[in-house]
Amino acid sequence: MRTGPGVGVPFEDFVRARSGALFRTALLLTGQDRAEAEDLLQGALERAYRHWGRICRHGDPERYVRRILANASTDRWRRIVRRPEHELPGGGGAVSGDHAGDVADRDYLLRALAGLAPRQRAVLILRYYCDLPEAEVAQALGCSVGTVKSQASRGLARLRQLSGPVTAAPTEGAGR
Amino acid sequence: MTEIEQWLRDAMHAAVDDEQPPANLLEAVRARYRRRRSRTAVASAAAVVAGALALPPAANALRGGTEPGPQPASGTALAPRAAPGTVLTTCASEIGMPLALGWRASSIQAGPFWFVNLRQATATYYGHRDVAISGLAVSVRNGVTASVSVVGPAVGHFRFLFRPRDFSQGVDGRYTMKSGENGMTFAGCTPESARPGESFSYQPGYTQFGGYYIVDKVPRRVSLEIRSPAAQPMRITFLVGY
Repeated sequence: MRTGPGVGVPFEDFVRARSGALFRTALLLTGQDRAEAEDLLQGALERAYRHWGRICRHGDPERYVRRILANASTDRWRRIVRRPEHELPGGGGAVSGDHAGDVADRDYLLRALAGLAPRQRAVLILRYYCDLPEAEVAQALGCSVGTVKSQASRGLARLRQLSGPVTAAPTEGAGR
Repeated sequence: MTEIEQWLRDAMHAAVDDEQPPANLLEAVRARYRRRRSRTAVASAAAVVAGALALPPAANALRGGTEPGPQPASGTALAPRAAPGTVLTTCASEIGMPLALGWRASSIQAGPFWFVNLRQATATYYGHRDVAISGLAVSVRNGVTASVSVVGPAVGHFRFLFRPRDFSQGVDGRYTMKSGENGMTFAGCTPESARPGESFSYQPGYTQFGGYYIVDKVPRRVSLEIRSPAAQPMRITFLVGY
């Protein structure tokens, strides 16, 4: 078992405990492409495994792995092999008050999210799914807080634009 | 929190909260680690072989032989040589990179080269590094040896990391603008140099190389000069940044 010197956080325990959350983040970063998310997470964990002692000495290993995930997902190497983006169906998301409509709206919003620029997508996911403060998102992506704010703002504006019908007239499920 | 923010948060949680990682994740990570180690060992061995091959000309020069100095890039059947001011990378370092549909639209073709997805360059500062870094895929036509060098105002501000020792730390490396090289010579595979049955290229007719570039700040306008045996030198200029 690989542990950090004097820290005693076995890599295996970390994976067992945190791989679920990290995998879900990876899924969102890859537009819910499961195979790509698995590859992304494996790569991030493999890199963490190589430097586990150092990572543990610096504290929060999950933050480190999340940072690798986010950056790798925006890295051009991944974009070389990424699948072409799916076009959103015309007419926007159907608005309805029933459960099926709610699911369809969510699906539409997520597809719009997947269509954003990788960095914008990463900012939104770290900010609104992982609930990281802006400063931590900035640290994870290696940019300034101002960049995080502007990227989030642009990303949300783009989502609002792409999913206009959904957010213009939210269903009863909105605002929970 | 605005409505769209709340919607987005709800949608993301609803979409993935029930998802679980693959059961064999730990084993897959370990296997990946082992593969990387074996690849690194092979790369180190290749570097030693390349060093050994480079020794005879050097020894000849020491003996007062007539071995000429660095030659311009050449596409002949002779062993490829680095163009002046560049570092040679050969068929032994080729890697296979699948290409997305429509990759040409985001790439730059210049002479025998394709700089794949360079138009989408997103060099990134990782943490508090002095330089930004990005992956760079370069393809060169099979059988052609050609060079690419940074020219103009970007000299010293944009450099290539294509040798294993240059980028051994990947994007996490503590690079400075003295890391890497100002120019590279890429030798495309020939029938003689390609490992039988082991061509990795996903781009028919081309040899693919993978590395990184570093740049001191983004955005930055960068000019590259391309020299190949069958054409006049040419320049391309592009903007690095996002």
